[in-house]
Amino acid sequence: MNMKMKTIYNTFLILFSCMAIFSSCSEDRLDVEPFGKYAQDPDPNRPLDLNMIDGEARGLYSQVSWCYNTQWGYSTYVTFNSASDDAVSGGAAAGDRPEYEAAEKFTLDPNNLGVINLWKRFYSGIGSCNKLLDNYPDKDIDTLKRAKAEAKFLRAYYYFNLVNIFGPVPMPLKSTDLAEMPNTPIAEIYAQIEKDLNDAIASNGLPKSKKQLSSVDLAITRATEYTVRAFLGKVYVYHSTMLNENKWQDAKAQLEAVKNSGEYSLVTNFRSLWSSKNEMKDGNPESIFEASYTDIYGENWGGVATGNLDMQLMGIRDLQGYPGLDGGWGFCKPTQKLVDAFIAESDSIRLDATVVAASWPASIAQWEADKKLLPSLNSKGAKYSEPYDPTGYWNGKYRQDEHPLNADMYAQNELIYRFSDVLLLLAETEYHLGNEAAALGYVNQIRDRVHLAPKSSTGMQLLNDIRKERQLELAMETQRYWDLIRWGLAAQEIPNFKTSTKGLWPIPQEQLNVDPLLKQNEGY
Amino acid sequence: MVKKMLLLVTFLAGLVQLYAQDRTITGKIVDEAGNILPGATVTLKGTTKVTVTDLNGVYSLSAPQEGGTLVVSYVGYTSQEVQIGESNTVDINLQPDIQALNEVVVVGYGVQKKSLVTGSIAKVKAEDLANQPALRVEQALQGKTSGVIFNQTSGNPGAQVTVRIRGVSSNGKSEPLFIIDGMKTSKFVMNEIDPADIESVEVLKDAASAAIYGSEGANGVIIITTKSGAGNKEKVTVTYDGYYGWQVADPVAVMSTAQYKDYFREAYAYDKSIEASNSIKSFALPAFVEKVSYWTDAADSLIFKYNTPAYQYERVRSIAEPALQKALTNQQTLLSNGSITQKQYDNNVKAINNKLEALANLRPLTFEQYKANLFNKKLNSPTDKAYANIRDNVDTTSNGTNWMDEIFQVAPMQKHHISVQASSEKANLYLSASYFTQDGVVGGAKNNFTRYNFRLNGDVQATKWMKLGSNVTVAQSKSRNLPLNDLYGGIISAAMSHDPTIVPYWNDTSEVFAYYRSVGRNYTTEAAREDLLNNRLLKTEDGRYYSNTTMPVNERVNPLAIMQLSQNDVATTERVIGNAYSEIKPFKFLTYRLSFSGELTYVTNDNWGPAYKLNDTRQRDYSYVYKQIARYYNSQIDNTLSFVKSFGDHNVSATVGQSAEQYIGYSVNGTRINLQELNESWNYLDAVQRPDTLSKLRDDNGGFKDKNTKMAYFGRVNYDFREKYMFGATIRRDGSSLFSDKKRWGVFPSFSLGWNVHKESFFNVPFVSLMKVRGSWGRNGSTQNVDAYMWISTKTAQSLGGAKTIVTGVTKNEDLKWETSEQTDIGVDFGFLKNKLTLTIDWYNKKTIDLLAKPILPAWMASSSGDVAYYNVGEVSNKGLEFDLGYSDNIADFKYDAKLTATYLKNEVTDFNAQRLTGYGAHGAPFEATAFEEGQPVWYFRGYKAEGIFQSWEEIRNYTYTDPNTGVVTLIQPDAVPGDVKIKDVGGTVDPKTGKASIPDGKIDGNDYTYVGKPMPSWTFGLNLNGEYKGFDLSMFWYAEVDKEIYNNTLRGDFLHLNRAETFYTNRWTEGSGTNDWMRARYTDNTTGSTQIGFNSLFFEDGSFLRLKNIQLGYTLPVSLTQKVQISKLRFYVSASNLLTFTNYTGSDPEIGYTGDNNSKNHNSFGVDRGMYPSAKQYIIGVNITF
Repeated sequence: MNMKMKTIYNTFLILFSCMAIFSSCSEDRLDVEPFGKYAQDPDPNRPLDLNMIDGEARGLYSQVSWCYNTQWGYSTYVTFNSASDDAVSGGAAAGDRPEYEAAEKFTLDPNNLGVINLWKRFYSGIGSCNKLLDNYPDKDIDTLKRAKAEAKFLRAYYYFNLVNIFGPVPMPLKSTDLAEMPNTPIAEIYAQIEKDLNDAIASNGLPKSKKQLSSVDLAITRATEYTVRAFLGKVYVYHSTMLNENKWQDAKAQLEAVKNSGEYSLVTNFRSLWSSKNEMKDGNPESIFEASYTDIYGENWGGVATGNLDMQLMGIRDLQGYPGLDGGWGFCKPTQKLVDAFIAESDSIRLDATVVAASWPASIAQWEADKKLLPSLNSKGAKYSEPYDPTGYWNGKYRQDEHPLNADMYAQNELIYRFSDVLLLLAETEYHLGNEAAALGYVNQIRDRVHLAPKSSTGMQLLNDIRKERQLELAMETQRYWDLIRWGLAAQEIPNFKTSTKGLWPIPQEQLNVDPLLKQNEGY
Repeated sequence: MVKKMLLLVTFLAGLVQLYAQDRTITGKIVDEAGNILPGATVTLKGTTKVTVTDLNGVYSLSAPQEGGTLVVSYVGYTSQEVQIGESNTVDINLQPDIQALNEVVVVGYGVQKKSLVTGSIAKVKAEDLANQPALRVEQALQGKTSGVIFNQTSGNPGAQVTVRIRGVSSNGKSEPLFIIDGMKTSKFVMNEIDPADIESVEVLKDAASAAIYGSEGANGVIIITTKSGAGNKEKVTVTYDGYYGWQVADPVAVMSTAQYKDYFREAYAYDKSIEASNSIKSFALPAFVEKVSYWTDAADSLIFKYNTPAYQYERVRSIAEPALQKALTNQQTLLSNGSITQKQYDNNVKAINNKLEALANLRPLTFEQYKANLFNKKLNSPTDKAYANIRDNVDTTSNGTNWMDEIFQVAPMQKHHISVQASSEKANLYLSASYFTQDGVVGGAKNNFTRYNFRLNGDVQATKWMKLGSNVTVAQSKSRNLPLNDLYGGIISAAMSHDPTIVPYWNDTSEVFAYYRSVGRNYTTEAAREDLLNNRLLKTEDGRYYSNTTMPVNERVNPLAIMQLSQNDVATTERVIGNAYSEIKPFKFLTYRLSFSGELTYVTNDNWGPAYKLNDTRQRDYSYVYKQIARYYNSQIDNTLSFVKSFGDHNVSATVGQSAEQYIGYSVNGTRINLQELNESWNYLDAVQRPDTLSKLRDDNGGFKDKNTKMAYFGRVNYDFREKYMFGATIRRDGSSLFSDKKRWGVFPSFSLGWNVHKESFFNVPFVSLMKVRGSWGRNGSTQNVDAYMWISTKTAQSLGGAKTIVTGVTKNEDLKWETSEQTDIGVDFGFLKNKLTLTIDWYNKKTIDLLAKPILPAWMASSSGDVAYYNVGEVSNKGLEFDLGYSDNIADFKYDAKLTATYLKNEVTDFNAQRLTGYGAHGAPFEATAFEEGQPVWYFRGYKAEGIFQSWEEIRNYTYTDPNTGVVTLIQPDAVPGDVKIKDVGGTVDPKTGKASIPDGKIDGNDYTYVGKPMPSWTFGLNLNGEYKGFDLSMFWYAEVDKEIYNNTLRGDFLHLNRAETFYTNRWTEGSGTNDWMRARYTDNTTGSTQIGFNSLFFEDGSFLRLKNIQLGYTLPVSLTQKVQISKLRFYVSASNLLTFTNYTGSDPEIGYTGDNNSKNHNSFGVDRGMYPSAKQYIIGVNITF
């Protein structure tokens, strides 16, 4: 190597080492940990993080609220009230929210965004339950047992919704279940729901009583053993009616256990059930399960508002000049038929609670003017509009005057399951078991609370009375649609009902596109 | 600020030194053809003596008695040095600088001779940028180079510009990479760069040229080089540029008060008659036939009350009569089966017969009679409330308000820029300071943008082998943000739609309370009235109140009130961008360069405002203050080693390098409510001194932290043989922390070839002075749609009803990787007539794969909020042709040049399962005005296809569908009335072959959405014309876009009772005198699927336009005059921008890019006009002074 070459060589050497020094060449620089996020998969080499597990179990409930209503177009509540004869879809105009309109008119198609989103929500809940069940081992640790029992309870809850809405749906039970799954026969889904609920009870992981729940647990209505039993009872009633299999004894066992637990009772003031100050956390003895909402500014579930959007959706459109009411968008309006049903029974207390009216129909003896909880809008001189599907009525159960507005966010929880529903399910169960007197007793217990004269019917008339009582008691609580289907009355009672679909919704096209094993429901 | 600038001028002017003279040299400077060259610079070498030739090309300069060398320079000519002999007269001939041969272009980590470039690189020089007073460099670049499309996102001061190089290559962002003096940066930085500081801009269009930027080059690269001090070593040059201008907007016309009243009387009557005939339809429903009481109300409807217009007569009769007859028959059945009593039967039959009689007595009224009837009666049923509002409203005698006139105003703008260039053998220095301020044509000073900018560029030849240098900018920009381009609550959309029958202000409280009484709020207690007046009502500066309308308006309120409410929203950006480098040159052929670059940005957002009540929707119960400070720090280290050497006829250059980058973002923000005092001095968080329950609830704070890192190794080699055959290759290996360690690294190669045909001995075409053929291929990446941790699956802490919960994330995708573009470019460069005429043609084919999208996955794989991970799916193709034609010449003293650019683009999504990407379009579900779908242009416009307007009932009856299976004929639009839009039945029935619902089904619904336009123009043209004659200069710039559509989305379907564009009135269909191009007056869209308003192709308008973007006339004073006051150049000019526009588009501005918020992912809303802030006409007077 001559001198010149050596200089060149040395220079290169120096320059390259410069480059190495200045740029900290290590590729470790590219490992940047995320700030403020937990990694998805638990590290198997570390001890179980019980706080994390408990947090995740609580997190499963946020999906109940999310499934219920957190986007303007896809409220389960508005959708299934509109699908039944309780309400029409409403809104600003045809096409304002086609999801609700299609539910009401039975013009659903597999590309309807309401269909797609409801499907997604319930399944994402199932996915979360599966992840929790698979991510943690089965160990005799209270927190873990409770979390797993809750995951099973909620998975059953989601499948119960799915099977009612969509019928024979795919049934992933493992977090490793990925894209392709076939339809599962409805009976198998029922069997799985019942198994999950029974397992949750049998695991002994759940608190026995609401009294064992912390205030935070009460705020999100975490499940106790009786929550699960109440649902199991309802599932058996549906099982018996929808599938025409005799599960009445099973239903009775669970529902009576709930009734006899001493955990629940009817509140005296019917209307107080829908007050943001009378939720389970405030000691409402009738509440069994709620979708929890908050109006805390800035709270959201990954971009999804945490407030009760239904209240805004259903408020009176363009309302001006009615003190205490902020108005809303006029969706989900009670029908004349529903109002007529109350009038026929002279049921003014529940009509008051269920319906807000522009001007009351001249019935039930001039509507006992002084008892009106919301005096008619017209007499107050308020202005509003009802541009589409005018019925002159708005939902009274989630009316805005009870709840301060916070930028379209209402804190009012929604009642998913309450004790009077249990009693009416018991009445139906006892009727089918031939115990008419017991059945009548439950019906009259419900009627007594709203100062209606007791019934004394028997036979078919008694069954009709039980059904009528369910209609009036649970109006605008999304029960009616499936009640009518399982009683075989949907075609008769629901104006636009399409018999060809049996009341089932279409499986979303996008799901069919990614899952070749999946078949569309009949009638679509 | 202006004072400071003047001080600086004085100081810098002092640097210009003066010397005593010895002997006077004079002479004439001419070009090769003997044309005189006025304004040429003549310098005595080695001294600071300098002069400029006068209008006759004559100079005069003092020189020492003996010797001396003159240096003569003139733009466009090669500088020449001439020894001074004994004669005192020295005439000099200058030779034109054939730029195409000697010009150098910046190519990223180096420079290259333009004649050897094998890729497609456009260069725009400082003097090309100078003839247009642009705030941002992108605006100055518009139309100057083919293949690049620049569009306004808004006309408001400080708004971003949309730049697309060679089309749109992604479903997400497709922003080019911006490089300033070697530092990677973004378009957001352009707000803080003064175009006057820019020496040149290179646009790397093809993949091979951009390949040196690897994973970020896929959407092209814009390289900005700022000015340096290098240049005239004889003299310090001080330059001042300044202008003052007025901006005048030309907003879209809305209906006048009189037109509005007329229109809505008509609309009201139409809708009433339709409503009435619709209620008749319900007669036919089973329930109505059964139960007479159900339809008594309906039957009592307007048809019977006010008779019926001829317009609906036939329809009413044809529906009602059979229905009533059927009901009559049904009563008989009901009686016979015992469902009703005889008495009920009698009553029902009587009622039905009454209706039948009424029906028989119906006499058709003319529409005018019907309208008059309607307006003379009072309507009281609850559903008439909204109608009553309209009727009351159009019945007023008020002359009303033109809200557009109220919000638009003439707005000033000005700029001052001063710079100093100094150069010596050892060091170069460039210093500049500038001030720019612009008011908005909406809101004036409330919509102001102001920028201060300081720059220091310097380099020092420290030793023979080492050079050190630095480029630094310190800038502050401040913009006052009004809600402008927003369909929901923006000022412009509010002004377009607000009730024109009311006055803008109320003078006293009695008017305020009269309004609240009229909407049913009586404020009976004194306390309530006090609260409203003192704490809620927004007052103007002179103590008046903002008016309101009784019409339902929700968030669309008095636009002047929105303006006042929003005026305290100020965003301040403080930015330091700079680099420091050293270049070591141990041998002549080898250079090592180390460079550190950094960009430190603080973005501060300040906002505060009072409690207010404009109506029941738009109100706030508390005053508040909001603060945010975000700090972003980008740093970059580059090491490069460059080698240049010739081996005989073989010329080789090579560069290897290594680069590392880091980004850290950090932000805190806070809100407090209930301010102690409502003024600017209490505009900070601690100003709140009375926390209460409400306050606790609303006081809020937040923040984020973010970091990512990148590393790269790259190399490039260029080879040529006698500058005749060229070859180039580039490779870059990039690593990024944005991806999992499986997919962290990517390799991006490129190759290119070129052939200078004119250098061949066999090539002998006399008029062709240059012919180069070139081709390139390369691959680039894009990470701009990837967010940090996008591939990771995380759990997130959230709160539910006060409980802390943890929710699971999406199922992770560790295989997430870059979007990759692959591009082939073939180009040819011609020079004719000694390069007076130049022509460049490029053809390219660019394919982008691995787009990022959220596919439909089984929902159980989604997160708690239904989200799924991003996956790499899909492919986009962009193909295009680009032409750059230039000609420059002179006729005696008249010099002129012309440059025409033309760009053709074909943009298509070539692989994308449409089912995989829903819910992402502009406008939002259920109607997505833009869609990303295979076989269509990127984010094309999708809607109902309008096939004109129904002129008569007959046309409606003839618009039928015949079921192929049953032969049953049905009306396709059964609810339509004359004057409605006829919608094409595109699809509905599934085609068994394709599985798509592409066969007409006789129904108009979501299946009938189809292609109704595309936002990107097929053709864009730019034409620059420049002329100079004896000190006068004139330049003109025309810009055109051809074959594109704009979605005119300013009218909301749910607010059809409000005002709208004048064309709705002037072009409307009316009975008897129908036109076929616009719909009847209407204020509801009660059609199923909302076919009539907004979603049909009438609203997707032809957006082609031709615009005189700029015209400028300047005059340079004779040097003989100005040099007496030591000024070497003094030029005055007047300029007008956006002076003329030729377009069929009825909206405010056809030059529309991505609208909406600058920072959001609004890539899907190109060409969506939501009440666009139009580009203003700008009239400017300015001066350039060089000392």
